[in-house]
Amino acid sequence: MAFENLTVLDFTWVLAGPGAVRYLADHGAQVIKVERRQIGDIARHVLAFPDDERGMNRSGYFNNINRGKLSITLNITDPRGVEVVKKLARISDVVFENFTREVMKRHGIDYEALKEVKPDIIMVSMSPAGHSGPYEDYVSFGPTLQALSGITYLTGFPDRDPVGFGYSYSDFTGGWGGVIPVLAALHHRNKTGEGQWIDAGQLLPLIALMGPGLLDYSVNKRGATRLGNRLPWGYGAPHGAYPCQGDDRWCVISVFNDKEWKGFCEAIGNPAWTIDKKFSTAMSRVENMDELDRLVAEWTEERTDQEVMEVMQKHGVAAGVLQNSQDLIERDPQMQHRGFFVYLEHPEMGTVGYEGVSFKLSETPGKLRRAPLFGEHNDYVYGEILGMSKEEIEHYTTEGVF
Amino acid sequence: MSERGEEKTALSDLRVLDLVDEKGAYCTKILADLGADVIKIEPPGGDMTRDIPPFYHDIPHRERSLYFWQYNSNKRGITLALETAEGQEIFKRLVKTADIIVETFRPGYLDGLGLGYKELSEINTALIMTSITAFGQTGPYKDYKASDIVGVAMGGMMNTCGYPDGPPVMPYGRQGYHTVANHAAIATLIALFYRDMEGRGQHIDVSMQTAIAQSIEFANEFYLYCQWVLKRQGSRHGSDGIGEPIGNVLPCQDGYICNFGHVGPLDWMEADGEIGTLKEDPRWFQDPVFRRDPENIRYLDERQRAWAMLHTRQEITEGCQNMHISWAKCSTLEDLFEDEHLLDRGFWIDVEHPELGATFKYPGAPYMLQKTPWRMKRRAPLIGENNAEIYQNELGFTREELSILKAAGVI
Repeated sequence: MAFENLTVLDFTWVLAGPGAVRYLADHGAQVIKVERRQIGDIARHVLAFPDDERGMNRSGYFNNINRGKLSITLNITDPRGVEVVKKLARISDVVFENFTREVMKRHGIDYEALKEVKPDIIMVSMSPAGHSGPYEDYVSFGPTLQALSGITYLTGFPDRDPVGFGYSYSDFTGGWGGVIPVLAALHHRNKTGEGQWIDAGQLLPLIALMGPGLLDYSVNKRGATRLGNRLPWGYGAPHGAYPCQGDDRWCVISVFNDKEWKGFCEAIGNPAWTIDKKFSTAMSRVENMDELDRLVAEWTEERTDQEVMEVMQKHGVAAGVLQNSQDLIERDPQMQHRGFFVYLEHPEMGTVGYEGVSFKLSETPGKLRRAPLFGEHNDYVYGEILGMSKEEIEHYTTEGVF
Repeated sequence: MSERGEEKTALSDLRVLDLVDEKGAYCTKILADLGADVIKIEPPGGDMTRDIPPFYHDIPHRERSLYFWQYNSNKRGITLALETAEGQEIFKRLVKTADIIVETFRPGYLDGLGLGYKELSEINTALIMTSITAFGQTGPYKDYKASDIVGVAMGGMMNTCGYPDGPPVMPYGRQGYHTVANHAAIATLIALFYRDMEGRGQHIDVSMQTAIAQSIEFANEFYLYCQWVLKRQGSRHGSDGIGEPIGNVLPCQDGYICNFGHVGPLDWMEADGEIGTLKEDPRWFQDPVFRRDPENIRYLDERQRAWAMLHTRQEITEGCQNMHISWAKCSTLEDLFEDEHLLDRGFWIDVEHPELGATFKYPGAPYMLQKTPWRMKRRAPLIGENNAEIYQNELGFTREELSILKAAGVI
């Protein structure tokens, strides 16, 4: 695996940080996940418990994100805990943390301190908005950052309040914004032997993904509005989600040029309205989009989402079923073919599922290993890796350090 | 090694050949922004993504697509017809100088030209080739076409976006393309690390659908662990099926704010006379069953909405953040250009367009690497702008030969 010889010291919790580290764990890194004594990563307490039975080792949410990591418990507010952190840093290549700005510094384990014990260490700080600037002390969850980024305001229909995402997309964009510079910094270290600190606050990576609307404002001074499922600047028609047979089933269709329009018309059997000059050019289709949407919906409503997708694709039109997770996990033949979902044994939950590795590397495809129980690897990490004796480990455990 | 007279960058030793459409444009930009020499290879006459709006001053023109500008800044550009025999020979010469190829052709297309990974890796064993498609290189949907909205629908992102009594909605800003582009960059850099260790390249098969399916938070976990199918439920964060009002968008005096946290800025609401029973009834804090009762959810939502209307979005953002409460304004896109934090972080960067005699603000560094900074070096290339630089200076073609190649439609 690509990261067979890489050790990651991971202080992250909830989703953005652990999601970033997941890419390294899936590809073989030895990830030492530091969890708070007694409480652990709060992701262990939030959601997706099988049979509705809660338990620190029973959260599907924690399990999926933290697979393949080693879990240790450690009290970093105890000076002896801080010494242990430094010992761990000495054997690590990369440190991830996603606390608010002051936390690592307050405990004496910020980059400056860890560099003293491991000069070529790479450390990434994934605080909400970075370690400088007026928002440096902001607290946030995904929806907070999405609101600040503009994506919430701009997602939704023009005649209703903004709706944004129904989940924390910014935990993913923040995760990519954390892991990408780390991987680049590893290449730099491989070339030069030099480590570094990376300030990867989660807000900016999301704003960088706001698209060409940003330049439309800075260059053309045009603001952006909510447009539902349409693209701005008169690009694409029909372009949207169309209702199909069944309970809340939809198929999305997008047509951008005359060739695709011709394919679309053939797909729906060339009804008379398609030759109306209201729809004869890309521009007229955009101008008459409301009427076009209504006509398309009349046709899709009589068919299943799958039928609509298949006949559109047969005619070269980009179309797809609006899939929920049951569709992804049980029905979609492409997801099955790709073997995306992976099932592994877990000591407390039996056989449980995981999202797999989304991309396939031909030489080093990566491998899923189950998620750790809370504190499962204290003996291994403190004993085998740091070489502490059984007595020392027991002593530190009773003293509340581990 | 640092480049002469420049700050050193993390990927400065790498050359990337860019053969991508909208799915891959941000992937190669990430590599370019971190210092790689990314050469965008366009068909003679220019890439089709140059036709994507918006345009500079709204005049459609292949050199004036703001879409193309944004996603191709920091890259160099050459033209080359890969379908011609001479084009293929030239491409192979470039491959010898390259570390990474990122491509988005349909599966099998480059193999058909004799330019698949197998052939190219024989020329350059350390080559990393990243192939991005909508659904993957193999499988029943491998030849399906997908735009951004098809990706976000098929990958499960759109399923949890929208009001329950309205249609599902596509997230703003083409996030399907962004999701796959980020995954492609991560995969490429993983392969780069392996190459640093072992000296060998590899081929990467990136699917937009699975990249998105891995980026939808709890939806898959709810089904895998609880057989529960998540649906759209408005702006509310779907982590709680029953729906405590977290992540709700609430209108305020001059726009919208987003809440988070089960109860709210209580002292402030009390001072404004909008506290209701929220402070006096301990069940709001201690009793999850009480909190999840639909009547109580409605009550809490009404109190928060009434209170939010008393303030501006800026007041609420600053006031709540001062109390360490994770509520914030819903910025508009225009707000971002005046946002004091972005200005302080130097996020907006002036990029010069000498051919227009103009300079424009572009989005800048998403992250700050202390020793090898993200950098903006140049605007997007004009069509074939770097042909002479690469074909003459580097590959040794004469000016006459370039004229012949141009006339023959090879470059």
